[in-house]
Amino acid sequence: MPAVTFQRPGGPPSVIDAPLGATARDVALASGVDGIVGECGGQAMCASCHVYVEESFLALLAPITDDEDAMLDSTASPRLPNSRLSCQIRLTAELDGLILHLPKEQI
Amino acid sequence: MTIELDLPRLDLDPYSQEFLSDPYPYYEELREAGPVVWLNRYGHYAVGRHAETKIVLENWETFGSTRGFGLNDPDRDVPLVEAPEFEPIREIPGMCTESMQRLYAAVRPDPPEHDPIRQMFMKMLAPGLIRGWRERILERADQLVQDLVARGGFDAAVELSDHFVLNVIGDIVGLREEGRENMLLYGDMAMNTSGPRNETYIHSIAGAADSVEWVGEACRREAIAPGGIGELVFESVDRGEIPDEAMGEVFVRLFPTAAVDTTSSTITNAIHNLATHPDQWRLLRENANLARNAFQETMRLTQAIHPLYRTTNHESVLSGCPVAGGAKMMMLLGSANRDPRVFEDPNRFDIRRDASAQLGFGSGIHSCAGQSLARLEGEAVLAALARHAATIALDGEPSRRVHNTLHTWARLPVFVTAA
Repeated sequence: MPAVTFQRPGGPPSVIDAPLGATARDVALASGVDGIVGECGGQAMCASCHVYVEESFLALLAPITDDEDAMLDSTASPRLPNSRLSCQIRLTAELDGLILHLPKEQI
Repeated sequence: MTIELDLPRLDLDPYSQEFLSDPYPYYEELREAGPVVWLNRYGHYAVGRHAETKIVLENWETFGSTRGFGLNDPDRDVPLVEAPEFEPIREIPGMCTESMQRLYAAVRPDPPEHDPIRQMFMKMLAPGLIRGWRERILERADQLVQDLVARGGFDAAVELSDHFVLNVIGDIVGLREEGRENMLLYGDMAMNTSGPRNETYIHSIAGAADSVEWVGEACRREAIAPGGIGELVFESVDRGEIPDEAMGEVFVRLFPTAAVDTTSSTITNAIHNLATHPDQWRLLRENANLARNAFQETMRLTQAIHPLYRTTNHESVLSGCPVAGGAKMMMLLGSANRDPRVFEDPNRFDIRRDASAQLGFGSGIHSCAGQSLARLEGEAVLAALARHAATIALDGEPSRRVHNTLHTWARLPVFVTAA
């Protein structure tokens, strides 16, 4: 099971052992991680599961689709080069140790 | 069209008054009968479980929208079923046939025609753009709720939900202030016509003639106030993204059609849920940040839009059940949202649960483009209520709205005490 770390700004990290194939958004919601809202259910429709991906993992993620790209322009906290929607990050063995930094705001 | 005889065939009438006023026992029957059933009354397939509903919503190649979202199939000369209820709608008073054809062209396509329309609406209703309206919408809700709470009692359906949503949509689209209540009758008709041609439907069409005229006038370029989404639509016409002026008007009219009734019905349902669940009301009072999730949980438990249809483009197999081509497939969103296979203790109203798997906004390429706006409207009203009212309770029996598609209250009188 890949371990994923959700790092809140100025808060303690949440380290979660994620089931293979789950999305980072689902893992965060199932574990009650504060700071991921994901209210559309994981369809890239609400931009409220925004994360900043630790640089070293960026290249391991699936490319950004047009839908995700459009939604990333709508995030509550600024979009940065390492911005992704956590509903579009599917956890693989390769992503073990993934670190996702949470933005200040999601809504 | 051959129908698999092994499929469970149910006699329940999804448009009977008994069904419409309390569909939940029927939904359980539907879900437990099987993943796919055949409904004899109007002759179509139906899915009541969450998994199959999601599959139907997300597979437009098989379950197409080009023949409408309703039970009727107005494009066909021969009705699906030889019954008066299926007589195709040829005209709506005040709306010319050409105008109706344009409306269908706007709302029904699947890809590829659907793609540019979808992109345009997603852009105009993007969460980032809606966030720009946030303060104004919160302030409008706060003011309205404060005034209503000061009176000690009010009709939450008419004076709060309807009034609020009409004005938010009016402002955000840029529609004239005078006569905005016409959008209610207009939306009522639009949603009713997706059901059979029953008394409710006929009554609704007859009552909407004046509102069709008002909406038609209000959605013209000359009538649109600058700074809103209406203006964005006509800018798209100018850039050639929308073929012509008349099509631009059709797109603006989609707001009174789809953005008013739906949201106001959901807010009304949320207030009913809160007024009848004091423990949940207390939680919201303690933490108004739960307002947004209370809206989502309301969509799950008491979904406002119930039946939604696709038409099967070809034969297929759905969860092991053979499904013929050329048939209507009914989804019951309110049933999927109470599927115990997905939601624990599904009949319980719990504003802290993760209800994000609810399908009230649809799913896939036709899912609601305006969901960020709807959520903001719901959050605004419920948070304002939690701030200004200490208690809320029903003031007598609320009256159900008689409607083929919407499940909500026509009148919802409540008592409140000021915080």
